[in-house]
Amino acid sequence: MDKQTMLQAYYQMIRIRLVEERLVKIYLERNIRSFIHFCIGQEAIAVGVCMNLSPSDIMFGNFRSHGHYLAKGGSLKRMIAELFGKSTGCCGGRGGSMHLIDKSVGFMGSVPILASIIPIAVGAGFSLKRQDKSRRCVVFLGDGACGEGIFHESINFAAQLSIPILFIIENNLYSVMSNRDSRHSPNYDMGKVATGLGATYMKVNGNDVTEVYSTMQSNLLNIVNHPVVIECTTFRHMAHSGPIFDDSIGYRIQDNWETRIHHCPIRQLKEKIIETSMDTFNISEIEPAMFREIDNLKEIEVRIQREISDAIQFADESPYPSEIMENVYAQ
Amino acid sequence: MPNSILTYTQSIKEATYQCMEQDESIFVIGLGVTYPNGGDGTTGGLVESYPNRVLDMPCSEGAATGICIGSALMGMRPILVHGRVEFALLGFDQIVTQAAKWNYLFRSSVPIVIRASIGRRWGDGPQHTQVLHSVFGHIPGLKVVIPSTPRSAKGLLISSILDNNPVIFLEHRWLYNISETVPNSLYTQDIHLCQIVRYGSNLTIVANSDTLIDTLRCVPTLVQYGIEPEVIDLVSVNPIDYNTIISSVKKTGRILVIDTGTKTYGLGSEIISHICENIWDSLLSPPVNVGSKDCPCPTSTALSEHYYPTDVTIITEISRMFKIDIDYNKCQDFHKMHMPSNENIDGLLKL
Repeated sequence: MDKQTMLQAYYQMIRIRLVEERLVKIYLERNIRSFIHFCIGQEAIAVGVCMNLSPSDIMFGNFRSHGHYLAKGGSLKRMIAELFGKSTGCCGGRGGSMHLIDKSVGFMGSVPILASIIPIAVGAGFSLKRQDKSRRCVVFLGDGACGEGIFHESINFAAQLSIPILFIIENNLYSVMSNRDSRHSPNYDMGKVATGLGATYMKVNGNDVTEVYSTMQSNLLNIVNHPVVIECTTFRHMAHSGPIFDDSIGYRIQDNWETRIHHCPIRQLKEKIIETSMDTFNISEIEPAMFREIDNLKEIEVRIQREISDAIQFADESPYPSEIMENVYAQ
Repeated sequence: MPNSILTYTQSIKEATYQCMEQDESIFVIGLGVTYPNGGDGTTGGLVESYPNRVLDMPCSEGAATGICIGSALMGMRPILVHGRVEFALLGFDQIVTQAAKWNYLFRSSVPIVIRASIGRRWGDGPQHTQVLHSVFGHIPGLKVVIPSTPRSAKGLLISSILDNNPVIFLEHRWLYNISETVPNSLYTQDIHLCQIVRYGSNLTIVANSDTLIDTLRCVPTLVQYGIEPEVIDLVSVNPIDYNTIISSVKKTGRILVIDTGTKTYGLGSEIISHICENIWDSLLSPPVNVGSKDCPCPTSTALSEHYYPTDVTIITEISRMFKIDIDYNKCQDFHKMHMPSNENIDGLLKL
């Protein structure tokens, strides 16, 4: 990863982190009434994948998709407004955190019933194959979703019909609080499942954005006529849901606090940037319009915090929706 | 354009063919739809006309449903065909939790048609004969259509394909071989409206699919006893066209709802509760709800002949409603009970 790409990745990752940290902070004090799942610790996957995509490429997410949505370019204002239940939210207040969409940047929707989204993404890929071969389709799922039957059906279907689609599995060790041993036999092998169904499979360190990015980059051509499964190992820093840490429950054997901090993708990338003497640089290389005058990593955070405050203000000032029966059916 | 006498099966095939000719975004997918007699004959031969748009598939009904949803989001118009409604249930999450919700949540319309064959056939037993009208009808965001005649089947399928919502299209397999005069042209029938098949004065009968045909068979007998039934083909389970039903019951003062699905939480319960809530004062006698027995459908003919409501059930219930004895042959012919009809219903519809 070259210097400029590394800085862009840093900007995207710290932006997702800061948005979520602010949401954690205001969740209780602002009475946010949207069931919520934070992706703190998993940012490198969303960013490493999305930096290889263009807005015309399409993407589908799940219940933990703040990062996917933001990395794809989804509107922050409309996301916060959605969490606040406002009419300006990306779903007009009908969805909340688990239902994000911004079609203008190719983020086609996210849903919480684990593997439910997978065949929908395959169908979209099927459509792209017939309509426009230059666009790509990506779906994000967790390791829990891989236990559902439709995950297997969908890979088989995609391979049989040569549908171009990328399955990104974010393996954070747990389905809620159930570890691998309570869900799979010791002989379980995701790679064999995926390749056995006819897909290409690879496994990467999802805490290292440079590795996710380069794996993604080298596989872009494969996705043109074939399903590709990339399993990304990572750590979810917070509880499965809610603005809380849950270390006290005692289920986290493999990923205690120190381990998570050690592998934190943002901390690792920041160290790499500093090691390569890039702490001082011209930030105009990241976002020329936004960052013309600032020149260090801390300043990025200041700018992002301001953007978040603006988004919260936008959400605050937006009206609540009123038409409950609207759009049950399409015209 | 002239008319042809078509079976229900042929009507569905003709509607599919004509729509595919008009719109390249339509494709048909389902287990065995490419077979010479695919989709119980409704898709046989289509693949020769549209080789890349009629697709056999793995036994993965859940994924197939999701794939149809995903392709619909991107502008295609899929028709998913299930030879038994039970196979649609393998995609129930996709139908109920995804297809039915995406327009409300995301304003992303999902124009798909899910065709499923329902209801009785000898020897099919409890897992090949369910009806489930009201199960699908319970879900806001789905449209649920039951065509009862060949002419309706064609017009309603064309409308369903043109509709921008997920439409569950439930075909009673008992009807596949009945025939009727059907226009050759590409025409639509409103999928939201009941059809009054016969105008009457002192009893409203709301029926659908095979129960509509059974009801029409009773009409000549009822007329002899001074009962002039207004026979309504329900057509749509969601939404229910209450305007038409209410106007009719206000006129007749009596309602009998008959469905081939099980009675509890069934169509009759739904329609009658709406009538009672809204026009209680118009009723001259208690409403009557007729459905199949609240048990799984057994396979043995010795048991299954007691399972479904028949013309005898209709006559018996109406006798009780009007407190009269109606002379009717209550002995059921074995073939009529257990073998699907292949009659032409043009005459029945003119009674």
